[in-house]
Amino acid sequence: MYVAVKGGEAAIENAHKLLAEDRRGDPDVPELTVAQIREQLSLAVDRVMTEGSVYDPDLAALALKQARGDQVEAIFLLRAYRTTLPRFAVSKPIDTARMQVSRRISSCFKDMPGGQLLGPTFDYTHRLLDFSLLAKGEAPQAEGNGGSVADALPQVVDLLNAEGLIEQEKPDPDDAPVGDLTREPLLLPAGRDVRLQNLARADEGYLLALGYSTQRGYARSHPFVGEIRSGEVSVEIDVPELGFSVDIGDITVTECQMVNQFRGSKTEPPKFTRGYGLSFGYAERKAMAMALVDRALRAEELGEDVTAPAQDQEFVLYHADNVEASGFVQHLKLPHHVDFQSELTLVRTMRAEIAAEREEALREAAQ
Amino acid sequence: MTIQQSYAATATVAGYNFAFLDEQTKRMIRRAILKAVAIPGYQVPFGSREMPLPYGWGTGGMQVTAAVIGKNDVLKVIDQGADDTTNAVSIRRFFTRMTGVATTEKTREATLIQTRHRVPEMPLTENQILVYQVPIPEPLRWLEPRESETRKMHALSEYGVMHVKLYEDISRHGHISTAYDYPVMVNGRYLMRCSPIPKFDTPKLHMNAALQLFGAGREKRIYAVPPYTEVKPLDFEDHPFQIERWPETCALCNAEDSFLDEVILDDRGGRMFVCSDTDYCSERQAAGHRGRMAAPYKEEAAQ
Amino acid sequence: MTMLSSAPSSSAPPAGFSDPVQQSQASFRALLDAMARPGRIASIAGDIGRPDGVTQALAAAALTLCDLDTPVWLGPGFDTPALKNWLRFHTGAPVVAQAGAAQFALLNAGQPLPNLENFAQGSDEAPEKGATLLIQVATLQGKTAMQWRGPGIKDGVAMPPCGLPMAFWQQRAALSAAFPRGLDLYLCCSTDLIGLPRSTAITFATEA
Repeated sequence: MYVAVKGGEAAIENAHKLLAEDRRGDPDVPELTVAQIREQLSLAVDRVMTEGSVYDPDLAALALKQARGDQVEAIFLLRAYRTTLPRFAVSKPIDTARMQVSRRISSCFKDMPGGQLLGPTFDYTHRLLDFSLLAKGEAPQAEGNGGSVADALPQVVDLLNAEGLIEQEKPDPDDAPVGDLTREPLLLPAGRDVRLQNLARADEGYLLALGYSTQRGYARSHPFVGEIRSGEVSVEIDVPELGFSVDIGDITVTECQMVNQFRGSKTEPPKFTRGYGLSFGYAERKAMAMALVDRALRAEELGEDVTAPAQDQEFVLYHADNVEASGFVQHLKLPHHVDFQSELTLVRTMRAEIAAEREEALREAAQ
Repeated sequence: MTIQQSYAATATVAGYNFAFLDEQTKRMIRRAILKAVAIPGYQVPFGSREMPLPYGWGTGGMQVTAAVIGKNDVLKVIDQGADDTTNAVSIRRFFTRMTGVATTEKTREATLIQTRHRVPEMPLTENQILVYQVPIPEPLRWLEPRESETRKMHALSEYGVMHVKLYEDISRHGHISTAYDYPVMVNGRYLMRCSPIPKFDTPKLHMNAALQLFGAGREKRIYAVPPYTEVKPLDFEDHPFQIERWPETCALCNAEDSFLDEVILDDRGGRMFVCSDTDYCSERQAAGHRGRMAAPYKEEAAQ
Repeated sequence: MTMLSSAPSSSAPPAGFSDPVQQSQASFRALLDAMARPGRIASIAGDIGRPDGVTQALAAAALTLCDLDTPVWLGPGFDTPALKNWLRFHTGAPVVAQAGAAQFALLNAGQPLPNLENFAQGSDEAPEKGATLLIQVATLQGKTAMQWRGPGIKDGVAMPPCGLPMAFWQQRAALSAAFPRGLDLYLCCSTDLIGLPRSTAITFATEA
């Protein structure tokens, strides 16, 4: 006698209880607050906001807490929440030239108007575990506020404009609306607006690997960091009824402008081209990788041969989203026993037929 | 009474719209569904949203269900033919929380059935809609990974590559080696993927009385087979399409006409076969059918 | 968030759906059923606020399907300030001047109808871009004038002209050759509607 196992519902409920228990860990250790995550794991928060496409440090910190620190899971939580939000307005483009910068560097020039500003960076730390953090540490005080006092700092890449050495970036002449992947499916070939949105939401590790591949010769584009700047910019929306735009708050972003060599073509003299990256918060590695991949994806537009993975729009864009990728890879955990049964039946039939043929052949040979 | 009314029909989780999606998103999905019905077998691109379940776990089917479902619907959710598999439980629970609609495990009581990998054994009626969860909607994808290319192939109805693939199968194995997700032609125009249902279920799509909707969330496509529409598996005259057969009948209900799951009983090759469609199997047992390993039937105590 | 525009005034447009979530769902099911079973009448119950001269079925279809993302073209007789305001207020749909730019068209069969070729038919690669026409007709009855066949129709169905001239049906029948490009139609009369997808082939009695 056989009784089928039931009780999927009870099993799921129990799994959720176990998960909650594991998330909390040892109850003798004080519970993390969302504020602690927001303030002390801020780069994790920045990544979750960037790839989750929602600027809200508290929600991102909450997502990280709920996800036990799993960033892709936290990004997914934030995305699923974002889906349900109504759209009140469309903001005006942010003006990063008017950023209150806390970090600004260029690798193209030793110095430039406004100067280099190192800001809070791991760059020149020696990667030695700091055991003093094991104990409670006093917050060190940096000298100066680290922020720029200037009202507007020129974009370094624009300084090259004076000589016409770098391509101009102009809005589309046809005044076409900017695409939005969260409302329309990706259709190919995709314009740069849609590509940049896709890359901004893309998995950091994926972009890092693709960007790295361009440096190793797969679509070599001779990149220089024209400028990286991080800081606060204001977000404005137009209110038609008022006839002017309204500042609705500040967000912290990191912008990377890559400058790349371009050998020129029959119609154009040699000049520099650009790759662009932007992330929320201080997600600098992401912004840089994004800029490399953005430039690689412009191959066709610039008349270059499409030979490398990072230049292949369809490949890059369709596999960039970690919420999609993680879901599909992990769906293999779901039961597939019906498909598997079909395959079993087929393989058994084919083996039986082959065995019968062999037997037949042996019998004939014996005669 | 098997229909479970969990909430008053209007009560849903606070802060969320009926059926989770906002109205504008539902409209967008509804427009896509209507175009899918008007062009049978054609994959309509749609602005798929992130759902609270992962991509690959039924988000396409869920978005279609969310756009279609109303408070008078009776919902059934199955995965691998069963109502009690974990993902079926999870999706049914989601809609119970988000809509308050009644749910059932009985195929005949359902007005809306969301499924993964199976078509119920009991013939569907004109009053039912079957929603399939689809992982990869493009039938040509394994042969041509580029969407830009496959889109052209559909535009031209250029499906020679699929015939060649099936023919190569035959010459290599003596068989078409596609056991599930078998390619079909819909209404003589579009090559379509039926989602990973076993070959056994493929003929059920043909001239079905119910409307069949297909949702692929991650791939952002919706397609449909309207009622009474020709759905023809690709095959060859000398190698006609065939469905799976089993050496035994269902060990519980003795059915010889249903898709059977193989259950391993021990590590010495002991196994049994049981219906994958749990509702079909229990209906047959209730009607007195007995398989070789079934317990003697007795009325279940009222719960 | 409060609406900054369109404060109610004495000329406020008629109400539309009183329960948008449930009524649009119920209307959609009628529309879906009609599109899935061409020739079979589906009905939209309840009370739906709408401008004078617009039937309930057409009003419900427009409220259910149109929004900011769907350009709408209004045919002769429907190109009125009252209908425009009502549509804009409830759906936000942009009203376009060119029939070919519209995703939806609202047509009144009591007036001369534009040639069907004027509407977007989609392309072979993107046939879903073909327009949907919501046509208000005086009747869905009459003597048999044609046969409809195709997906959603079990054997073939004998259909009356539904208040539309035979020239219209000839035009529609000719579009089938361009499938998958084409137009999808709803014929709306009072609370009833009939769907006619592009996949339906039309033949006339004389050809039989």
